[in-house]
Amino acid sequence: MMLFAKQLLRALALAAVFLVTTPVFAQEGNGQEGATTSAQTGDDEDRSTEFRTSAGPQIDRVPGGKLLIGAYGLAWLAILMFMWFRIDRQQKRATDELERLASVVNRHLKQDGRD
Amino acid sequence: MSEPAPSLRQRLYRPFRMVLPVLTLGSVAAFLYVVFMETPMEEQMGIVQKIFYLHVPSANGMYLGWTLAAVGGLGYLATRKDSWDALAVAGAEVGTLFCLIVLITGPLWGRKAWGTYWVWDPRLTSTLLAGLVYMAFLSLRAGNPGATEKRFAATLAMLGFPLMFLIKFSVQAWSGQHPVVMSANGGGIAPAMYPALILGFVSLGFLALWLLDARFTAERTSQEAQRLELLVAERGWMENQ
Repeated sequence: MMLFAKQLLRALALAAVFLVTTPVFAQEGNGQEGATTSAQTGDDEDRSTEFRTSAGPQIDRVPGGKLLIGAYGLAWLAILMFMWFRIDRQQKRATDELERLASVVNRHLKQDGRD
Repeated sequence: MSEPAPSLRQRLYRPFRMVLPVLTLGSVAAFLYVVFMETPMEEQMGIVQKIFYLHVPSANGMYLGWTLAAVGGLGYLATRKDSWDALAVAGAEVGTLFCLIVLITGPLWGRKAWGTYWVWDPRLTSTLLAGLVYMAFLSLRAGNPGATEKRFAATLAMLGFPLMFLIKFSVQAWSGQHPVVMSANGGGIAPAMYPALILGFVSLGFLALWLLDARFTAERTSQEAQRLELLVAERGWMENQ
């Protein structure tokens, strides 16, 4: 059973290596061939030589409105989080601690006074 | 026993402290109304240019916070008084908060203007570097710092101060892609855009002062509690509670 599992893992690893490396080698091969052909023939027909206007509707590919809302939203969220989770929480904790310690000190000072 | 009479500084500061939240909330509401309802859109960038009115005043808040952090650091090293340390902490935290806002809003604008969120431009890089320095300061001060940590942090706050000049003059020194609108070399902004920008400076200035005051007060209360805790421990009163 263990032997089968080891063989299966080896097969999978080999398959993964082939899957990853084959497209890389294929791309390298195509690039070299293309470069050779272009250099040998001097054929520039594939290269664009002009810019044309778009015939379809003009679409704003980067949505400015969403970016604007994101910027203002995240900024105010950061400020509110800082106020609530940092300042307010620390202030409450420190005030509670101060009141507790002050009562301890007062109690002992009164006891010392009686003694 | 009656409380001691307030000093002149306290008497002058108290009324300002009471109206500060009102001033902040009022000016922030006016700022948002003017930005979104009154200010015209920019010709080339469109609506995303309105990020500018938040981005630039936030950078001002960042400079204010970090300057106070450096002043607090210098004061602490000179006197070893906890009030200076509290000022350094409040300044560093508020400055770093505004730096975070600058580093959020800038890349979102850049996505539209440059086609990418981030470029290793001198101004962007120097802002990130300064932010990391003050984050190191905050890491040093996290938890319950002793005198050594406070001294190191104060030195770090002072070392971070020159980086603000690096941020400010990086555009002139190394050019880069960051726009320079508000300078002698920049093209300026249209007159209709000035109210939004001025209100941005005013409202975020008030907000920065409010946050600095609240953070400073919280830190002072915390320091007072620590001082009292030490006293209670020294007297051996803890076990008798």
